Amino acid sequence: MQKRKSHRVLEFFILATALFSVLMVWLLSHDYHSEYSLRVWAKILAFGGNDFRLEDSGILFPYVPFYLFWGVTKFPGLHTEYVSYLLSILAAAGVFAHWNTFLVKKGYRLKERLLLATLVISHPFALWGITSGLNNALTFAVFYMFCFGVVRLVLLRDLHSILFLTASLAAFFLTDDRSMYLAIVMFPFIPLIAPDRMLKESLSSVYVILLTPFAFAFMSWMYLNWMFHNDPFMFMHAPEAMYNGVWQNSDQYSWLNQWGGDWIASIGYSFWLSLLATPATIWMIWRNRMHERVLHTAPKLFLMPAFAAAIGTVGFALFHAVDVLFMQMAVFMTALLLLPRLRGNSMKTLLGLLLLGNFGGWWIMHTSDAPQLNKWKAAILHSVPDSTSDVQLAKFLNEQHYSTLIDERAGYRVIAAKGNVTNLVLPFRVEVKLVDKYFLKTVDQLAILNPNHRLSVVDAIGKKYEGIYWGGWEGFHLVYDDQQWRIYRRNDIESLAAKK
Amino acid sequence: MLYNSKKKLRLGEILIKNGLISPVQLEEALVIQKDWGSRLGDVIMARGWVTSKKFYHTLAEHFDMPFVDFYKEPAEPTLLKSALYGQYLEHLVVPYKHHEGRLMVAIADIGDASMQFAENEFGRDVDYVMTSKFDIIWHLQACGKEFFNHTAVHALSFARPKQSAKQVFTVQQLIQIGLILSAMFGIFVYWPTASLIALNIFAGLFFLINYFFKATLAWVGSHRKVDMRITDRMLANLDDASLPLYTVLVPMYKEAKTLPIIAASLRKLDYPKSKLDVKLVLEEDDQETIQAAKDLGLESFFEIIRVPHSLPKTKPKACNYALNFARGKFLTIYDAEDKPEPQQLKKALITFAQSAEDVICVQARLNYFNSTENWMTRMFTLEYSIWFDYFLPGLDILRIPIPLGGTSNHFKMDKLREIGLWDPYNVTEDADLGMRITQLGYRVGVVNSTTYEEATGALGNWIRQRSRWVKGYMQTYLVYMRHPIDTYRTLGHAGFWGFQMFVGGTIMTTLLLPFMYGMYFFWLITQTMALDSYFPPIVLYMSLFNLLMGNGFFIYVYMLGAFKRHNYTLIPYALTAPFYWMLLSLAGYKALWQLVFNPFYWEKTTHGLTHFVHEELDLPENQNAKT
Repeated sequence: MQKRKSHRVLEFFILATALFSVLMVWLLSHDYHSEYSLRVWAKILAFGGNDFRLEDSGILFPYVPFYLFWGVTKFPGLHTEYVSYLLSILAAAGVFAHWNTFLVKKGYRLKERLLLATLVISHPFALWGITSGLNNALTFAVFYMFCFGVVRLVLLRDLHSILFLTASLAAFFLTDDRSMYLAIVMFPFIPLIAPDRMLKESLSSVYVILLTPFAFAFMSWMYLNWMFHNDPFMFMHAPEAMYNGVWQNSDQYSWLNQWGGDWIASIGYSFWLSLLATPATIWMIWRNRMHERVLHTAPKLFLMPAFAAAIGTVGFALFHAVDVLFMQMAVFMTALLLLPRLRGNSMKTLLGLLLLGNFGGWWIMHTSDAPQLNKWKAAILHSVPDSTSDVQLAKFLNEQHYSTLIDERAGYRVIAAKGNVTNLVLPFRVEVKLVDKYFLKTVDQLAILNPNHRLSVVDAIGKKYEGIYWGGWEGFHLVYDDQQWRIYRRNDIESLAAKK
Repeated sequence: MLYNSKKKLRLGEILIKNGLISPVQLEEALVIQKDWGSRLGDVIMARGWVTSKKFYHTLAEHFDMPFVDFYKEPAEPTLLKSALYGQYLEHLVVPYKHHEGRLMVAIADIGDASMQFAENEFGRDVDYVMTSKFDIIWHLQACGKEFFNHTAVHALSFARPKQSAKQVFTVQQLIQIGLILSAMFGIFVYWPTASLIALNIFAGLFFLINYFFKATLAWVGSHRKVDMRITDRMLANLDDASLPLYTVLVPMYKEAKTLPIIAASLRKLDYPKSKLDVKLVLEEDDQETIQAAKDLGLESFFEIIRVPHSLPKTKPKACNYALNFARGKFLTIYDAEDKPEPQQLKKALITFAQSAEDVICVQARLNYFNSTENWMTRMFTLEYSIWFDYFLPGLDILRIPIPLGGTSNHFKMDKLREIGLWDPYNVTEDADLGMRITQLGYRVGVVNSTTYEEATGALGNWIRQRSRWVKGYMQTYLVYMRHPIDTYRTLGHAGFWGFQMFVGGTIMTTLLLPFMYGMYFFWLITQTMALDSYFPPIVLYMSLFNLLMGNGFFIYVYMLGAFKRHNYTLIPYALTAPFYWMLLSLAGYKALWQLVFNPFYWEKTTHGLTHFVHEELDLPENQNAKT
């Protein structure tokens, strides 16, 4: 019996993996690249050619996806950017296999489960979470596990659930920069999810027990930032810190100008989008308003991403509310596990509302103008050639053998397109940071990003030597210009080469 | 021949006639007798309505036999055969003396089995006299103490020398340790930096594995199934009449003042008193406690066992000695200040019944009743909570040998005798026994019942107790690592590596921790770069992981321990756990010193210091007791 059960889980896992693989291949064949994956892949390439040190990567973004990606690329034959997408597929397939297992326990038949899974996967929020890049897929998986932990705690009321829940919370902090916004919402909400008996006995203890692992993870991160950079909050205010979101370039997002900075507008907007995209969750809560467990838990779970999105919007940190709201699908999936099995008309209503949510979700996606979403939406329909500038520069650099100083944070797309770091001098290395003037005298070429580009805030070279993009540097001359990148080459390079 | 056994009056009627009990008491006793499935006399004595001496006197009258008081008319010691001590005790029959050429046999339990034994051993042509159960036990104790004592001290070392800690280090182990230390010294002299890096890697890896191991135990041990083993319904379905005789050993030394606590706790046990065989195991030279036990006027299910002086003077030796007199089918041990939950014996029996046949021991949980007394007792309680509520159930589920706790371990008596009893040379005989049980192909289970004890709240007292425990762990580790391949073979993969981490790891943690904390705080205060060369990147990251995640995890598990026990006020104290761990290290080094220079010395822990005990006993604060 046990063996048969495990077979079922495996079967569903393989089925989900196959389906997500098809979707992912479709997107990749249309030249879709996740910004996050490119960024991490560039770092992996950069670190691969040098003595890697943890502190070199800046300790500025959550480490779990990075180390997972980096670790798998160490296996023979897997040293490729596409590992990132493979991991996304596996994480998402794991979530759906897990969900399916519990739907089986609830008594849902195969046809119902397939219908539910199809409607969830075709929902743009879930689809975005699964296919848009490793960080989103892992976030979706960890947030799903967190919600499942909550459901488990409500149903079983045991310490195993608390450990499960708190471990997912801590893992969430190390997986996703958006956990910062969720954390703010979690602090008042999470403990209230605990069973009534626990709350009545000692509310403060419930707070301490549920939030300590998250607090430890947060303080550990502060400690690492202090230890390596003498600034415990560097991960929050450094220009390249992912925890900042798009704050540095928020003016480039029109929707943020419309909704950001205003609490009421942000909350209203976030709730409006949640309602449009997940009416099924709202209906489930309303329908089961007399069901104590559901009422006790599901609304709080639903409120978490909604409020978190609002906080991210107020702080001008999100490229779109969907960047957080896609987690509402995890809330829907786990909330369904709390309910008694739905049958007949209730089931039909749920499926209908899921379908309606699909339309709502696609409408939200359609009306958004965030570049990150636009690329993904476009790739679903047709090919989206990658930034020609970065690819051209990569090609240019690969065609000659001069050493080139380029900031790997600003030039991650170049490095990813180049496929290696041969002849590149990268400032992540401590010795380069310390003696960068020396490097200006010794490298053959300088690659500078246009100061008007959104990534120029992290281009250490352009920032340190202000005006270098436009005016060049003494002893160097311009050899490459594509309006985004400029390459200045040492004047005496030929004579030096001749001497060598 | 048996004296006239013609019954003129029933036993109960004689007791009423002699004014020993009232008709109401007899009626009550008959009802209880039916419930408990015991004999009337045992019920009446268990209720304390009639003293043992008066009861046996009446019984003699009932059977129309003469009654002899061994104290006034001593038996002839030379008639006893040492090979039959066990059977004398089992049947409560002994040869008394010769009278006019005929052998007189004293008997306290007239039943088919005892009569059959007497007939087989002494023949039919003997005269019987009645005496009390205690007369026979005291007589056997007095006459057989050399024999019992010899068995208690040497049984294991003779039968299973490989598993006895009588020899602390084997020659082979001394050679191995010498070679390792010499090699380390040599390497350190020639490659000081490299060897320090290697040591750092070893320590880092050890803490990393230890962290994952304990995390796994906590994860597995926190499962709700652990707490659902014995339900109230199962207890209600238990038939008292079918319960077996249960021996309870209470070893004590100079604990006269706390004796009333355990007596009261044992009286509260939800178990037919007539089926309890409680042995107060007292040292012969501890007259104060012996007198206190006598003065308490204990019911007949309590017996005093006087352990003659001999070395090593340890608790396991005392228990081995007392076991000679135990008659129960099952056995457990409690300390003098213990407060077991009343239904613990029944829960243990249900656990045995539900478990596989190879489960021969069940460990109950331990916790402290004086947890809020001071910082030390709070930390001790937190530690015990995770130990017994998470780690031991985790070990049980993962089939890793369970080092038993000092008390509240329940045994199948026949199996306990089979595996060779406790090792009198091991100062944590309980941990050793847990290992031996697994090594011999049996298992230890856990039961969701708690015994509350007194946490030692004074630093010196705590160090003494803890150093003994760590020393015992060291002894146990050395014993089972004499032949590591044998141990691997008998314990299996999980068992062997679990033993390495749980017993070996506990020792190693206490010894390594001061160095790791020392280095860290030295760096933190001085911000020196002198240590950088000993921490290459991978070692640094491993150390950082251990520092942040490892310490954080253990502090959090301490919090969970308090949360599970509803000791909410203790939760914040978990943050101070690193200071407590440093004290553990102090005790660890003391233990290491003693292992070499005084291996069998039993560090005594003073009990009765807590005001909880004083309040309970209504004692002045300056009185205490030692165990």
